[in-house]
Amino acid sequence: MNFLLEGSLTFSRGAFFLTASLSFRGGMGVIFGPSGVGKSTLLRIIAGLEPRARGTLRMKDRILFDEHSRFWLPPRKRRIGYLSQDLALFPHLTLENNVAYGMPRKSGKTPGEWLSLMRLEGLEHRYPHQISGGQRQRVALARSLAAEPDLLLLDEPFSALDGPLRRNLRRELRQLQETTRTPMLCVTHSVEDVSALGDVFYFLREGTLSPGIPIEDLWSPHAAYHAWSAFGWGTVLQGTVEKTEECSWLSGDTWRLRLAEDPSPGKNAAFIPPHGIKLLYPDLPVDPVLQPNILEGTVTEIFSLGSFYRMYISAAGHSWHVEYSLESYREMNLFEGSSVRMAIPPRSIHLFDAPPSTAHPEHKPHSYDYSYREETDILQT
Amino acid sequence: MIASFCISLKVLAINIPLLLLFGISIGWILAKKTFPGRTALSLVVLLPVVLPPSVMGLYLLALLGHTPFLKELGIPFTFTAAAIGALLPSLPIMIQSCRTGFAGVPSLLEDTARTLGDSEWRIFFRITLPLARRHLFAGLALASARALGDFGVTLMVAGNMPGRTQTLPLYIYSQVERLHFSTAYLASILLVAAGTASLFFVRRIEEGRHELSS
Repeated sequence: MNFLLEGSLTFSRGAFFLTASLSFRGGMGVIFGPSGVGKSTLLRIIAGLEPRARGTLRMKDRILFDEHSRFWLPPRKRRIGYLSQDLALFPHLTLENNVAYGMPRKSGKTPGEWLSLMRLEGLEHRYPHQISGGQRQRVALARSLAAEPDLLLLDEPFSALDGPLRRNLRRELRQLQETTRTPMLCVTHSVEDVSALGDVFYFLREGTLSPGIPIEDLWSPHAAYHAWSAFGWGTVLQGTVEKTEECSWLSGDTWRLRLAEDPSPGKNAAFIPPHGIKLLYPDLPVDPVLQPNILEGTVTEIFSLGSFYRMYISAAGHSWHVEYSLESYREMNLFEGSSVRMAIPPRSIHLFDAPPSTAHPEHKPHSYDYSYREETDILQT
Repeated sequence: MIASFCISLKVLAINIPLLLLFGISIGWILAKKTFPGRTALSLVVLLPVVLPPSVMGLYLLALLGHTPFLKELGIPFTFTAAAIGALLPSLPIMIQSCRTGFAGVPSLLEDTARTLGDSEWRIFFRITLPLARRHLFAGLALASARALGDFGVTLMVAGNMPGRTQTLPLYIYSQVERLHFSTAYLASILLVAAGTASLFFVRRIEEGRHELSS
């Protein structure tokens, strides 16, 4: 088998434990999982920034580390780029010098060319604190790519950006991957990033990495239901898309949910991430957008998992998986058997069938109408 | 007074590179490395701040004059002893300042430089040192002023020999003892000027801090 990156590794720090068997052929891989499961740690291990990882990992014909022969290749010899969530631009260097930092001596491009490739021409002599967030993101990306790595690791590259910027950068990243042919592994906790970015998909859950799944399988209606169900994470629904005058709906036998997108009618399936479902306080008003998507149910199971709660709610003949941080909903005093009202924001419903290019809100600005409400409305959203 | 002034300047000239060398290396180790005994080391380097100069001078005298090998060098009561005596109480200031400076450089920046192909030495000179340089300069200014003004430790290990080990602070003491107040005041003004200049320099550095922070 001809893998770019292959191996199996374990890592532990305190109560945190991570185990991963990884085989990655190249192209664009997306590692998806809830916050705090060790996605960043996995990237740091691959980059060589966590020397205490065990197991073995090889890239092409090079060994990156091997527990048995006590071999560990230092990060500077791995030729693996690492773009962290915080970007880590060097504050004392100009953008030009930032980009030039890791460039090989006989590079085909100058730092200026890299900057103009990222549409940053004219900013060569600025410092990182003098440019905008989106520009910083591009500089960091240019700096990583200019070092000509054999593999680029991206840790939540868009987390600091908002809607439209995020979409643009996602598209640019995809194009860059195709033009530079640099294999990339990208970590994200956003379902949208998964559909927009990847060729291969990995799911990291409770310290274990799933085998790679081709993205097509994840979003094709027949394979997707099984693929997502297999993760045992989130809620997977099967139903029928119907259109009414004002919007589209996904309906099952006992429920009907309003959709943010406008997919073609017919049989379909959808995924709802656990943090996408909102519990409602009985005495507070609710955002009208959520009104049609409110369900009443009973908590069947609830338990704490360190920094967050996980619970399963039985409603409308279905079991809904909900997760929230320890701080939220504290005053609700939930326990098994409690009755709850929950809302499923249309934006949290990710349909499988629509292929990423059209299902993706990129070309349909109206589907983002809900996003601003979250920040501005005092209503429950 | 000219002789004492020259000796003080020579002490300072020798101590600045030593302060940079020991301050930066020990400060870096304390800021970036974890090893058994780190806490102990960080406390030991701070001891000169809390110990009376006479106690420190006494131990230094015992170390230089009574341990084998070091004894043979005959350091006590020479100019070398005066230089060492001034270094010891000023070094903690430099180490502490360097340590704070290095600890303030995010390790993520250094990690990123590692993945961009840099060796540890290059990372130190291209990332860590430039980003900590304000702390380094501020520490050096304060530590130099302290070295220039040392009295107790120098007196203990180097004595008060005019033309050989008598630095400006010791000169002032001798002049007052002989009731030569005018020269004592003159020498004092020089030291006040040096101290004020170092504080002024530190303040300038503090003010400029916002310029390059991200």
